[in-house]
Amino acid sequence: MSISRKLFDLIPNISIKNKNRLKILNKAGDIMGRPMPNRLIMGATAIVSQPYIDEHNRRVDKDTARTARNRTIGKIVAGTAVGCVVRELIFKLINSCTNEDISVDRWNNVLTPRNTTTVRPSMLPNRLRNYRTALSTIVAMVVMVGTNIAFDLPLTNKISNALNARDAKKRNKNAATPKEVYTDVKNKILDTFNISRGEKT
Amino acid sequence: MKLTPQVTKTTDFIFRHFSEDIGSVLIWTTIGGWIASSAAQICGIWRNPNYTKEQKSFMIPQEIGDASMNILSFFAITMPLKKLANKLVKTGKIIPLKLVSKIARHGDSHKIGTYDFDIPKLPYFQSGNIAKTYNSFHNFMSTTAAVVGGVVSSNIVTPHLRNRIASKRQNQTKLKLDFIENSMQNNVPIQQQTEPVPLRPIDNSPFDKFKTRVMSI
Repeated sequence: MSISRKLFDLIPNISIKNKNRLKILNKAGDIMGRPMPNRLIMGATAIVSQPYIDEHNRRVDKDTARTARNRTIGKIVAGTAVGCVVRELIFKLINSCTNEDISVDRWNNVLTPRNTTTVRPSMLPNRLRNYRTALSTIVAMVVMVGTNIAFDLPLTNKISNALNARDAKKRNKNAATPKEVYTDVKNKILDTFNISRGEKT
Repeated sequence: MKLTPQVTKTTDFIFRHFSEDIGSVLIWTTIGGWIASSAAQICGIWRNPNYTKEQKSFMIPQEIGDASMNILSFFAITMPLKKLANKLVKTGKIIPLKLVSKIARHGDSHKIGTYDFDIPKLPYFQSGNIAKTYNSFHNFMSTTAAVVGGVVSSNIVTPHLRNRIASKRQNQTKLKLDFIENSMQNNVPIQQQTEPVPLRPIDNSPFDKFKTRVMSI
């Protein structure tokens, strides 16, 4: 008996009993599988994790780490925004041009494959759904090559340059105001939490 | 409205090859997307005058590392996870109760959850809504595995690895740049400055014991 088989046998059989829960799961699968929500999920999780990892990269100096973090933020924001718009538009366009009915040639079935008659009617909705996702993903990839250069790049540069400028401003401000050397712990705590020292002048 | 025969041929080809399982097309389009995006970003960094040479020497390898690590981690994490999810549904380890009862009606309940059980290959798969229930749930499991795997690989593993690779590359470039700068300051041509590396004397010590030992047979 192979190891994978043994490990597989360790997993208990699970059956989903609740009908409503099953409906919700199926709906979630349907939504997550669409190109736009899929990109949105990836972008949302990326913005939470990647900038943090870049900023806390100990292998490079602080300035480079911050610049890399700013570029990552710019890249994620621009990539997600442009990606979502492009994918959604293409998905909608392909959906509207892939009607199941191909008895008459119309604009709404112009991209419907003509070999759907070879498939069993019960399987057709699922196969067509997969076809739509596949076609829109392929078209989106081709279109994204152009939009990467036309929109992503300038937008990424703008966002990261703006963030870099803000960082530089902060750095200059910090350099201009010399740090107070504390001899008293009490004063340090009061200053940290912006509490007035209560000194009479 | 009718499109050219080439377009019809293409749509027929996509339907025939990818409508049953869109896994392969998603893999290749994802990889293509990463490569295209990274190529564009590298151009952007290269042409951005606001970055110093040192920052560019980190960020360009970071972009290259990003694309290559994304591809590698996709194959190492996302794909196996997706395969596992497919296997769990295909064999009936995780399926809706509705499906269990339908399979049980045909007397195959004892096979559910066994390693070799394959629900789509059952002779009665197309009957009694089994296919519809199965496909919807299979779609959920497969998509969830792809999303979870994608988040772990692209958003957690890849950034760590690409930073490691990029910082190594940056150190190498930094050393090169320092070397060129030093030689420019000293007005010494770069080629002359490199002295020939002296040959290390051969260390024979590990073999010395053989010289003195008297071999007795």
